[in-house]
Amino acid sequence: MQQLLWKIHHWAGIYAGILIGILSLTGVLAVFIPEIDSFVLRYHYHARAAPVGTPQIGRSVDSLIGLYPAYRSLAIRLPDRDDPLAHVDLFVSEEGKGNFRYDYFIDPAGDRIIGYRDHQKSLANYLRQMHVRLYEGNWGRQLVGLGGIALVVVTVTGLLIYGNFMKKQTWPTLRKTVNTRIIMADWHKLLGIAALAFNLVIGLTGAWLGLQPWLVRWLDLQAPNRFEPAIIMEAGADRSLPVGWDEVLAAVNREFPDLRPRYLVPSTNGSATIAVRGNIDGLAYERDINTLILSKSTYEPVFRYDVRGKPFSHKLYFAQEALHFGDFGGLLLKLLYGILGLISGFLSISGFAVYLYRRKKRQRQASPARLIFVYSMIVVLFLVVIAVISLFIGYTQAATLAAYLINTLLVSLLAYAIIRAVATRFRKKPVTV
Amino acid sequence: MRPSRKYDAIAEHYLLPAVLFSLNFCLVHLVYAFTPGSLYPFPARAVLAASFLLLGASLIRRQRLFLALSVLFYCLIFTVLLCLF
Repeated sequence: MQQLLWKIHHWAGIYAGILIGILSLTGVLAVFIPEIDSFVLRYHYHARAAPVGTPQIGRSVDSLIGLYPAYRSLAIRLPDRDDPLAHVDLFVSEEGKGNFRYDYFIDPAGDRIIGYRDHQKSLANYLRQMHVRLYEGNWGRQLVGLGGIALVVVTVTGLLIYGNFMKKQTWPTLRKTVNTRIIMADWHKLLGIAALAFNLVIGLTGAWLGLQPWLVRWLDLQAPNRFEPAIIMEAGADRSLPVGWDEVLAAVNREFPDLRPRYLVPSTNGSATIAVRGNIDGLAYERDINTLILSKSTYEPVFRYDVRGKPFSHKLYFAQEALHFGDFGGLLLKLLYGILGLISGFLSISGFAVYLYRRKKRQRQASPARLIFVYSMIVVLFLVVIAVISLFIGYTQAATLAAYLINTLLVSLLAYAIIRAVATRFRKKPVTV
Repeated sequence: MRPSRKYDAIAEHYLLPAVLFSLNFCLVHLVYAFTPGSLYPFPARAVLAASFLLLGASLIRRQRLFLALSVLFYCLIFTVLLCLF
């Protein structure tokens, strides 16, 4: 049994280790996306604003609607602790050019537009897309989900074989030796068991988030806060209905006082509503799930979703993303997640090192340290090239290149695994005398 | 010379991983509890901090009963806080 568990740990680590390593590294950066984006806005775009009580955004939003009258959708992001700016997230179709997603920055104290950017080319979008789908648009997200399952498998099997590998060694003792394989193996066991629960949680929530599109289809699931208001007018008429944003914020204070509104989304489908999404302080759930939908004409509530009064299944559904990204305990918790995420990355490298050093002992192959360095540089090169293309040329080009690279690598890896398995099965057994 | 302590496989191979597992959760839980705006009142924070210290101390002492009780204590605290808040 121990032999089987070790084999599962070994093969899952070998084949998914590089994926787990990339996801750990990108995950550490993804945890800090709001902070990184805030820094970029302040120092690259020089978009700064002083914190305000009630944000003034009406004039700026109206001028953007005047600029893009045929916009496909519009969402206003209100200032918060991470970012004192208000943002207008606009999806527009430009004739002959295609679809664009613009992010306009508004100074909420003076109600004036102070800049904009193409959201698809932003660093925040790169960091998120790289971690969530490796920039592979077809089934990259599901591949990341499978990486989550692999992480769960190596974590659980690692726990089950831990005792057998420790023998008479005590945690956290490191054996005194110059043998790199033993040093790496000791650190692998020491840190692996210390960050076990973290890796299990990250693996399980990552598997759920990555495989969500498949699971939702197979299990016929829907987001618990989903609500489709009735269509009562033409889409064009709905889009041109004026909205009093101060009245909207006043209605939120009146109807859902605990809600800290973050997004205001006016309808464009003819339902004549405004969706207000936001957070309730102190809760450990996904951002912006609490919802209040108001009528555009009366500002009376049409629908209200407060996660606090909902069943356990809703809470479990919405806890996944917060648990995965450590988005419920401020900057200190994010730092802790960052350190533990780096440990996961180190486990992937140290596991690979142990494998290489053991193989070298038997087969006298290339220097394991050199091999690890080459693999790491290839990964870093992939991340940097995709980042440069995405930031300076375009998202589509970066996603196309990433799709070719990842799918080629995946097919090669699968072909190698199949050929190796077949070769092992049909290899002639040595004649024994 | 101090006599070396006998190696306790149950403690080292099973209880210690359980303590480290609980300690992971407890540390994240503790940071969450002390975040500004947290829903936890002072007694809940104090009990959580005590639980963290117990887990840490059991890791140093390495006695079977201490290791097991510290894990059980945190499990109890975790369940109660999950139900209350």
